[in-house]
Amino acid sequence: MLPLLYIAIALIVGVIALFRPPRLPRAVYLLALACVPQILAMMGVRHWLLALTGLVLCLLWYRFNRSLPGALLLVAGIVLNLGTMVLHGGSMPITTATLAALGVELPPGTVIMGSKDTVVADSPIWWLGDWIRVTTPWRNWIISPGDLLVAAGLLRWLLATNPGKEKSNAPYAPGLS
Amino acid sequence: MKKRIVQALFAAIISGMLALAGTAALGQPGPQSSSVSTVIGS
Repeated sequence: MLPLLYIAIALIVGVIALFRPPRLPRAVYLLALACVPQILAMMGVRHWLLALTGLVLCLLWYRFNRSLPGALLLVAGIVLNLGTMVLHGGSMPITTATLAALGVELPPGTVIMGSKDTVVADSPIWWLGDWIRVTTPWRNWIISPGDLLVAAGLLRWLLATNPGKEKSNAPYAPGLS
Repeated sequence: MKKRIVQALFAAIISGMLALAGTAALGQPGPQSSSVSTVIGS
């Protein structure tokens, strides 16, 4: 189900970008590489080193895109999410209490396939995990504070460019904007 | 126009990659969800 969410995000951004072309970031290959550990996590392959690798790659990506609108929000959200995953063995924690509130009972240690989540009894940093409930007509989602920051960063990136005032097709040059 | 479509396509791909690399949302599992597996010993 998670891949469908990512495709939906890409489609929405693509449509918006048709009318408000954003400045494209540099070093996109780093993002592509950072996706690999996350794909493995969704397939059930979890290790803190994989999450750390993704985090380092995202921080490197940020190094090349510091002046891109929304980049700081994006990286802040990524650090919160992947940092939390590093501390939980490569998984995003979701507490049994959060699941119980949704009417779902799963024992601690359960790896939820197709997601990056593992059920935990408790965690000192549960509030950085998935606990915020978002209801959509399509499906209910449980998201983390880091997810909110990433979403805000994407919006900032998309809406920062004013097509009427800026030559959005110009190559992105960090530090010159 | 073609350039704008290509740029929008790139923006879509990049946003998808950012979401994949940086988010960790969970679609609400059902009470009898079959998409779970228990890690033995964890």
